[in-house]
Amino acid sequence: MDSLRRIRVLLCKTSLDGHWRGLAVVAAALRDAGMEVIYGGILRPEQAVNIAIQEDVDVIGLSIGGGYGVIEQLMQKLSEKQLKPLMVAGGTIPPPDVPLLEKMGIHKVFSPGSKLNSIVDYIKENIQSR
Amino acid sequence: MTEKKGEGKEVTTVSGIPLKEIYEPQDLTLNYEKDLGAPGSMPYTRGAYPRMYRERPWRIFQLSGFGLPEDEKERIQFLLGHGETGFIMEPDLMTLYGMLELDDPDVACRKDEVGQFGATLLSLQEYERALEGIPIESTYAHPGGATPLCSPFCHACYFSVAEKRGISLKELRGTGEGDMFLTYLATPIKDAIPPVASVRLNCDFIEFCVENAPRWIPVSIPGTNARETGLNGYQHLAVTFANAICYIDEILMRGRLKIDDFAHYIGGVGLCPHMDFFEDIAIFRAARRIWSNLLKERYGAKDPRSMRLRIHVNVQGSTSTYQQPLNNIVRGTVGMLAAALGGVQSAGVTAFDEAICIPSEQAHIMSVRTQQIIQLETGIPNVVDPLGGSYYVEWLTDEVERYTWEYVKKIEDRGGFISVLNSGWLHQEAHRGAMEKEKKVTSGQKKVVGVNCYEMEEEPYKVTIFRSPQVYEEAKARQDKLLQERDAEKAKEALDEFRRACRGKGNVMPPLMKAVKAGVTAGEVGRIQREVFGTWKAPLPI
Repeated sequence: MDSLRRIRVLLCKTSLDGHWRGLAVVAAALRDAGMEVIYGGILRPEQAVNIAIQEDVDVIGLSIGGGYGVIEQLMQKLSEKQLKPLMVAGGTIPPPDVPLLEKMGIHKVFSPGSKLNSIVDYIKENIQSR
Repeated sequence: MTEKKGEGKEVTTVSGIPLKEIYEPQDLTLNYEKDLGAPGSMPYTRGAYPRMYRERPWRIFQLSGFGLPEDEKERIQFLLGHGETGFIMEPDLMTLYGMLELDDPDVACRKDEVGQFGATLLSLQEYERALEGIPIESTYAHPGGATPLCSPFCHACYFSVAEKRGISLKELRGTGEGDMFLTYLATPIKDAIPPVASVRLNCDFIEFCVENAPRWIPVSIPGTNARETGLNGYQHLAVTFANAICYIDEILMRGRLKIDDFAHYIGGVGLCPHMDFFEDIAIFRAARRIWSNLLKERYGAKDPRSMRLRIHVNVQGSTSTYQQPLNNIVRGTVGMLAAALGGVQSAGVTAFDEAICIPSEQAHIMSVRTQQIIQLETGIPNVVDPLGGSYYVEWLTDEVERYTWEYVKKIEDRGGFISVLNSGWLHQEAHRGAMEKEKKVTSGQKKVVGVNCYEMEEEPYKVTIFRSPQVYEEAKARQDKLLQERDAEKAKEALDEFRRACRGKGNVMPPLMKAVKAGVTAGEVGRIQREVFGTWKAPLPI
């Protein structure tokens, strides 16, 4: 990608659960690292895809809590539009579910307690190599 | 000369109150009668009741709920059967929190989440299923109603179950919530009605209980959820009281009740220890003193019941860790000890697996056992306010009180509770607190065992992940059947009457009781609330 362009990240919640504390902390860390953060809040899959297109994002960060059906729908809709953003996720995700999410196409899951710089570094490294 | 270990380093409480190494007699300017007094009398610092736990052990009051009403019932009976002394019904987050229809597009794309965080108590019929065989005439309860949107509905259902069983509302004991913090600050509800409309609904319910259900506490303000969003100890105390002030002023403005008629109905709050043992104790003691002075000085209350604050605690939450989850049992124990030494009236200890999943039976029972061991084996309940008179605890109680009043003033200078919610000021404050904590944990300044020190590659303890059942289809089938079988004309009339009450100034509770008996569902009630009151968007600092 163009090295002068700032990395654009869409952050959203997959669940109707409105907890935003963790996502706001992540948003601040990504902005401090020079990224452009678009905060979508609680989005349905088609809404997330529309914003991803309009905002031309490189990364989608999902705050996950609850069901994974909505994530499958999102991945399906992204693939229909031939969008291939870097997909990262966090939230209260039971450890055995991490491989499930990876199988769905989430590139990296950051469990609670992850260091903020590990999220920033992962995005920077994996955007450049794409 | 070598420097002494740790010298020069500023030490504070978890809320940032600077601490000395030791506290001595000269640190206190204590007037026993004015500042402490006997427990059960002004200013209630030493306890809400004269004999405290000798007479009234704190209530073991755990939150529970998932799946269908039958799943809810099974878990409640399990907990009551093992010594829980009151029960809390958690309503489904997906549908009931925001009073959404099952076929709302936002719900329909997340079918597998329905019933994951709370049970699908979507009608009076479902409440009847959940409560079958549970002696509600003799058991203290919180029947759901986490948000002000769902609180009137959940109570209308619960009260109607009682009426159908021939139990007078005057006999029922329990507590409501209608939490402004959950709805607008901690986990903003999609398409929530505006805060001012929620205050109206909550105050309608308070007035309804004063008249009809005198043993019911209609709103228990849970500052807990403000603290878990990032506010510190004294800030969460201050917003709790700012919220109470808002309810009190609204009801006084309505002019139907005098302060001593209803203050008692608001004076039960929810607070939250946060792994600073002595500050937590000081917070509970200071809370009682602040409340009694607020009611006496500002509102001229005279009835001792008005001045007596009762405290429920949620032990842990964001202080639980995902890593090495059994460590959370120790954190829960420490928080519960602080609560017991601080003289609370009821408690729920967060299950040790809740940082990972919905509590398993095993984890839930550990929360109950933690409380029972402290009640029955430690000797702590033998003496009232055992730390009263400690130089440190008394000094810190004064400090917490001072900081809390300053923060109340900050909120009032900004126009009061509703203004700081609408403007986003409170969200910014919480975010600042959350960022500060994150930075301290990242830098290692704040140690969290298993997270930033003593980490392990492999989890040392096996925790079985609890999975809630999938219930969307069954909940939907039941609702469809109800809609088909009910008297459509009667349901429509009841909904119209509820709409008129929302539009006017009448109390919404009587028509809502009628509506749920006519088979009206949560989603239908929610639709009318939004139609009349409109919606609100959270001013998040993101």
